[in-house]
Amino acid sequence: MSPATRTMDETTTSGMAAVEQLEEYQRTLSGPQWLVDLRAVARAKFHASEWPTTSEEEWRRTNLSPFEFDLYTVPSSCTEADSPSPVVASHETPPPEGTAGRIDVVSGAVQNVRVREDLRDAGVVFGDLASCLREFPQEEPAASAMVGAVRSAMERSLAIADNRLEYWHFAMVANPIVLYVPAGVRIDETFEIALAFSGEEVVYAPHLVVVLGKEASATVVRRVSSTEDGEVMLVDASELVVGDGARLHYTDLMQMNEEALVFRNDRGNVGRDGHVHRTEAALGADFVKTRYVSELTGPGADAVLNGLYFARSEQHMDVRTVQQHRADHTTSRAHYRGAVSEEGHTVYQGLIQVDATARGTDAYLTNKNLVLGESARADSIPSLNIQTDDVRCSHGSTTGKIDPGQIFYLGTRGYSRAEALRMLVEGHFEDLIRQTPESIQEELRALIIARTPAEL
Amino acid sequence: MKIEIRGLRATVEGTEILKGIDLSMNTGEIHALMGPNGSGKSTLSNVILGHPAYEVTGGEILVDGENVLDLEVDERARLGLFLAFQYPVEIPGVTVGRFLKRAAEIRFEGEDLRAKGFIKELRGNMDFLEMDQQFINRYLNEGFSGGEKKRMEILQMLMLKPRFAVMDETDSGLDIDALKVVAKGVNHLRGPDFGALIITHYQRILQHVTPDYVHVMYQGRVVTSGDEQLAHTLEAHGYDWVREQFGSPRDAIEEAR
Ligand SMILES: Nc1ncnc2c1ncn2[C@@H]1O[C@H](COP(=O)(O)OP(=O)(O)O)[C@@H](O)[C@H]1O
Ligand SMILES: [Mg+2]
Repeated sequence: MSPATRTMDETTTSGMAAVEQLEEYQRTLSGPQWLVDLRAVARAKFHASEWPTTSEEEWRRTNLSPFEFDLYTVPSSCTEADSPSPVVASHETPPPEGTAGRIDVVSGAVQNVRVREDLRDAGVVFGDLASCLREFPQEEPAASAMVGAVRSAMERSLAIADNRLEYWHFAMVANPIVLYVPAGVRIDETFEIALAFSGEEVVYAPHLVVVLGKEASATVVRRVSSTEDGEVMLVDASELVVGDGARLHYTDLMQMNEEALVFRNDRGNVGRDGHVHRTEAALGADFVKTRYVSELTGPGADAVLNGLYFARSEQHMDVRTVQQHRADHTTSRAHYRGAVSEEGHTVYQGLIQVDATARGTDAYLTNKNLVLGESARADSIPSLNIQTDDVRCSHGSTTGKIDPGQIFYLGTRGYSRAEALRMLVEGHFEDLIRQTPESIQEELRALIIARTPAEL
Repeated sequence: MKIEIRGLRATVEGTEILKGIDLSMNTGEIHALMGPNGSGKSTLSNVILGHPAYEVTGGEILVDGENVLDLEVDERARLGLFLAFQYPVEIPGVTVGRFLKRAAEIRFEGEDLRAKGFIKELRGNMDFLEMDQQFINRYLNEGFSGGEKKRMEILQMLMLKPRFAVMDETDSGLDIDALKVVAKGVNHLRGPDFGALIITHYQRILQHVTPDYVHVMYQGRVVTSGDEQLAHTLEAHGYDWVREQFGSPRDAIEEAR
């Protein structure tokens, strides 16, 4: 069936309320039985819970009470049954030069999945779940291992989910994107995931699961953007599951339009001697509340948690990280850098949590904020919760302004005030930008520069 | 380029620091400005370049006959003025290479830097100043030693080829080897297209860069000017001599107020 002849009527969910008609919506979603069951469990938890309030510590600075969640509708046609099916052809089309694979999804509809053929042959599975299940026969070991890993990652997340937005996410998740790299497969090139969204008061629940087998390695760049104006809400979640000795380099760039609302609950899980390097950049949206919990479950596991955020206009960004040390001799380093201008407000909450089982933990977090206006505000709330001795944990945060001496210095070298300011603000983030894949660095710089005010 | 400073007065946070400076300088000349600490030398250099923290309350600064007091800092830089800082600031997140390339683009607007061999020239100048090439990829001045920062100022000066440079105590805090490197940089630029005002507390650097003119500043005024010989006189008699000679009754009255 070509996209042109698709009959929208049968599968359209247009106008369906995401809260009131959650059950009806679920009936329009397809997928394997375990996913159907998972959505049902999530719906029950959703109905049994309330929206978080500012009386909860994590939500103290982010007030949800003005939001009318009831007004949001689900996407009109993002179900796998209704999406165009270029998948069969796409696996024959090579991904863009220099990448390992690429998936494009527009408003929930998969446009394109491309994976390098040699990687497919090596057992790498990449794409949206529905097309992966179609493309890879169940009896292929890679496919069944992939499904098992994706399923257990999602089920575990739901089991430990602790707020209504997370439940809502799992109740609405339609067709997760998966990357599965089997044991021992090491890939230098980047997997690119591009998600674009549109709509007015539409809520989406994008989901990503990355699973790296033992000693595997991969690099992933995910871009999340808006295709046009319009108030879209994302209730986003990901799992990054890094096996023993595996290495994952993950970058997430969120640049939604300035009406968008973004909620996110991401979880990382690193096995023995595994390593995850994750960067998140919040350079868009009107309202952002994200949380990334990085669990170190195997001895010797190591995590880098980098974050960039920039709130301007009247934007609100509340970014939380948890470095959760569960096994001995695990290490983690969080570097979060923020900027805030005009009436913007940012909150960074960083927790280092060391379980009793995590002797020899070495963890630190730093948060540096640049305040670019009298009415802008940046809050920084680092905290430690340490249940064992014999650990090295530290945190530090700074909040400062642009030094006029720096502007003068650059001025004597011919830089106009506006250009000096752009350079200094970009410089504030440069350490973190340099750690991301080269293919995204210029984009990050340009986005930061575009957000920098011309005058202080 | 002709720089004429006439009756220049400036205050910082309400206190008058420059109390009527007169100085006339040209491209092609090396001027030395000496004076005890606190006499207003750094203030003068900041005011010449247009630091916004200083308020000019009288007089004028003419560059080729045009009053530059209304120009922004970067506009003055674009005319070919340069300031080598006594205490260069750190610019984290901006590499030396990126910073200098952009500064050169601004300075030599419209010229093709690649055609000019910018990188080759940069490397050549770093060798000339005995600087490690690794500095190109380091963040500007971040974690540099005092001497490294001063060399970086000279490197910038060599690359940007100002028509007139104000060098604020570039020599202080340097060991003799570093001092010679700095002097080498100035002598390299010296010629009909380059002029400098070398501000110094000591006579030491003037043994390596012979000035055409020497001025002595004291309590916000240029109290005397002369040739190289004046620097030797100062060296021999010290700044007490300046106080005795030029600590005029007028100052005493002003200070008593
Ligand atoms: N930004 C400033 N704020 C307050 N006082 C200043 C400032 N800059 C300079 N001064 C004062 O102005 C006087 C001259 O300082 P300066 O120009 O640095 O002298 P010099 O460079 O000759 O040592 C000193 O008394 C100093 O304390
Ligand atoms: Mg000084």
